[in-house]
Amino acid sequence: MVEMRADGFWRQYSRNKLAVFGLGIVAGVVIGTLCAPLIRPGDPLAVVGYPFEWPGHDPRFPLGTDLLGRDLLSEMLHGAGHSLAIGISVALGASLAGGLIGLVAGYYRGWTDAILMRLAEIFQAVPGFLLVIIIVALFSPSFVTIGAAIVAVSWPSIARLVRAETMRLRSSDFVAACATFGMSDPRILLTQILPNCLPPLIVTTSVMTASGILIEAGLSFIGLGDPAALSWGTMLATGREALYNGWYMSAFPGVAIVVTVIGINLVGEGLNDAFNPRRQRRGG
Amino acid sequence: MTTNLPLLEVKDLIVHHRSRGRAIEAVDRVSFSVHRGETVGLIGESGSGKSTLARTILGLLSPVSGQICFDGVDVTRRRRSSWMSPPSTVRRRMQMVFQDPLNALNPRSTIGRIIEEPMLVHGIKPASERRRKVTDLLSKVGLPSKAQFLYPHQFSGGQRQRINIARALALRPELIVCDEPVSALDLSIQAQVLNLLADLQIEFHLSYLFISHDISVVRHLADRVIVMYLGRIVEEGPVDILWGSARHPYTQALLATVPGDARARKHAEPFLCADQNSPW
Amino acid sequence: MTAGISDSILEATDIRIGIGGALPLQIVRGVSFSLMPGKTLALVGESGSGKSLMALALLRLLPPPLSILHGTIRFGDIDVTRLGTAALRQLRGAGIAMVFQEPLSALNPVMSIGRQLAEAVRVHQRLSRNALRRRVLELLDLVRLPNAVRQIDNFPHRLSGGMRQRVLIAMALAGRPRVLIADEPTTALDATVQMEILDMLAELQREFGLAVLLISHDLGLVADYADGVAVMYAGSIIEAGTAAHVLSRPAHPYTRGLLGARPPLRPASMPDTGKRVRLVEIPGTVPEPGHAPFGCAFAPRCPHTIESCREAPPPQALIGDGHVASCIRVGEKA
Repeated sequence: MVEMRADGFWRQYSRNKLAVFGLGIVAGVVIGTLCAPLIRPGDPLAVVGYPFEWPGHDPRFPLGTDLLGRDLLSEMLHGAGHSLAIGISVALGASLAGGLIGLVAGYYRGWTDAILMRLAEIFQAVPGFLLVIIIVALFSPSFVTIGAAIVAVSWPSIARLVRAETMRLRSSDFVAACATFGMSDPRILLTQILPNCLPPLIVTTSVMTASGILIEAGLSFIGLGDPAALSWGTMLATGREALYNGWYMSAFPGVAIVVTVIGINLVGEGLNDAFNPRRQRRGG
Repeated sequence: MTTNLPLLEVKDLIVHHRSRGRAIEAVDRVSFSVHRGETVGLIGESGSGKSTLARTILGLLSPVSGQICFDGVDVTRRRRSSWMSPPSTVRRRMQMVFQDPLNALNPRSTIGRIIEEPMLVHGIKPASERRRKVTDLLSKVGLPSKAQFLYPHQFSGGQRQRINIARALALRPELIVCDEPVSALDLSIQAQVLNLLADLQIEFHLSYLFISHDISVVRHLADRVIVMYLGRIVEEGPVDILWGSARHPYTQALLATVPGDARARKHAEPFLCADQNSPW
Repeated sequence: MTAGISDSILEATDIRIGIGGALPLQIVRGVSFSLMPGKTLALVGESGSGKSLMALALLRLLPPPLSILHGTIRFGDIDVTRLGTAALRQLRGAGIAMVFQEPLSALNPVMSIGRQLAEAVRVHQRLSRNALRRRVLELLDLVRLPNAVRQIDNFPHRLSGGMRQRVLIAMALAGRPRVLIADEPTTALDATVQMEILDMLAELQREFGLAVLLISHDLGLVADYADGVAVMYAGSIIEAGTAAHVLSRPAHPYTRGLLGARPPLRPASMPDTGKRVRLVEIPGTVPEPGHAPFGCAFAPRCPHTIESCREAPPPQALIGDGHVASCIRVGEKA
């Protein structure tokens, strides 16, 4: 049963057709973002046509224009980047913070663990979205504050996950073996425990990207988004004004958010299945 | 030539150990020694404290009181590596082979990395020298050199245990503590690993502290034996104890459990071990 | 071992287990045996031999995608392989019962053992509360659980390994089965407890005329408790016969290898050097389940292999009274 690891991983992943589909969606969004300047060069927020153009009326604007006359397709393509950027940076930030805290808490236990977990509980006590709103409202909305706020509410669940894995791995014989020949604790944490925490961490991180996108969209929708930025969330906010006679302006970004989030979640599930192949072929 | 100073000496060791949800394994004033080149068998069932004793000897647990001396030096409290200093030297000279071969290997590391790890911690350079040693160790335990690029899950139980043994040998230790090294293996694989351990002992001039609950295995390998029950040593002496001259009732009870139809084996033996050179 | 078919209580004929479909995979490759009432048949093998799968198949408990690809299992005159779900449920526990290896994972940790036993009884009998309690105590008494009255309310984690195994055996006996399948029932237990449990099992067998299928990897254990022995390797039975025959005059090289792999029962040392005798090693490893080599599965590891060994699977050769072995060289002088 000798197989190259990466090769085997893709084979496991691709068993789940939905997961591959999800990957396709995510890839599509990324490609759209990257190709934005090619397909629609120029400032997406420039007024280029009559407002309230329905999609299909004017061949220049396949998705129509919004209530100020801006090209929706251009906005969608350029806005995708911002949404993805928020999602990814939040996921990475929460993983880093939560992962570090979880590792330390789970390995050293005792007072360190107690204090860190109480800290996590404090952050988890307040409903997440509410806390984000409070933080963003306190410090005026910008990419950094929005990102930091979302990280603040997301790190505790990652910390708990990593802590649980760390506690389990800590009692493994291979960790004991390393201690036997004198490996220091930090080195054990980094080289022995962390790599084994990665699979669940990666899965959770990918799903966190989706929730980051959703929270940012929600913030923008209620007007707490970054006013200088263009994202699907801000498009939703703008489109809110024209829901009656121009609902397509909200439909496009809305559907895009939903589809992207579904795609990311499917990827997360696919990763989970690929890391833990459930089907056992060996018999006793 | 051979000094009479024991290689390992344990004096009045007391260890308290709690594991959540499991029985308390404690060590209650245990004293014994292991001399160079000998195999001391430690027999005990679950709850006897044998694993706690093994881990304390290796510096994984701290005793409440008592002393552990290695080659005359008190190593009861010994150092792991840190910013400033490499680990204390006793950590090169004493190693352990664990019971569950899979659990003792990092599933995300290659075999080569696993065997190299002790050398890295002790600052053995250069990398080419380490790689050479890895290949050499693999061949000593009967595994091909390409095994170093593979992962633990790609090997069988017996092969994994060989990898564990290779790792234990990486720093050329003088004493190896074997904690139930063959209990998790199939019978025919047990024989392979036990023979390997015996061969390596000669080649590398090793001393063993061989821990097991299986009397037949211990009495096959050991020179002297210690029997533990509920944290205490209840009997101690040369391996002849296990061949019928046991005095403590617990040891005698254990001996009575050795399965095997003696009459049947007597008939089988002429078929089996008649000539060491020919296969059976 | 090959007495009249009508005498046996459990009979397996040419059972093949594996994964069917487009790319079939056979793990158990044609196993047959008969179990007589009141007797113990030991199915011996190492991991990958397929013995545990065989046990599960007898109760049609194979996890998908595994299934019985071929063969029949007869319990008395019932064809187990063709039974419907409802009839199967009745059979399990009342006709054939099974005891597993790990007592802790086979018991529900959040239910008292009294309740779990009661549930096991209730599957087969409708009893009033008092009658149920009496029956539970009766069963616990059968397996000699000390202080049964107080233990009823205890949870599994408070019991020792041996006591848990007794509870499991009690649960298996609740339906008054005629056949008991014990899959490595004592492997997870201490040596002193192992003997007690097996002795108790032997007594129960005598008392109730139970037929026991004992699955084990431990030849020594088997020697003391089994009437018949069947040795499995890579999904087939390579030797079978009475325990006395197979263990004292093993015919198949694999059986000999297994017996030789055990540390000797007497102190043995090499005549010239005085050093300890080497244990008999069987080089190589067991083939992956489902990937046995063509011909004799043991040929790659056998010191007596010849050309014809690889050409076809060796037929069963009759060696003595009910003693068979699948090796084409078995009649020759070594």
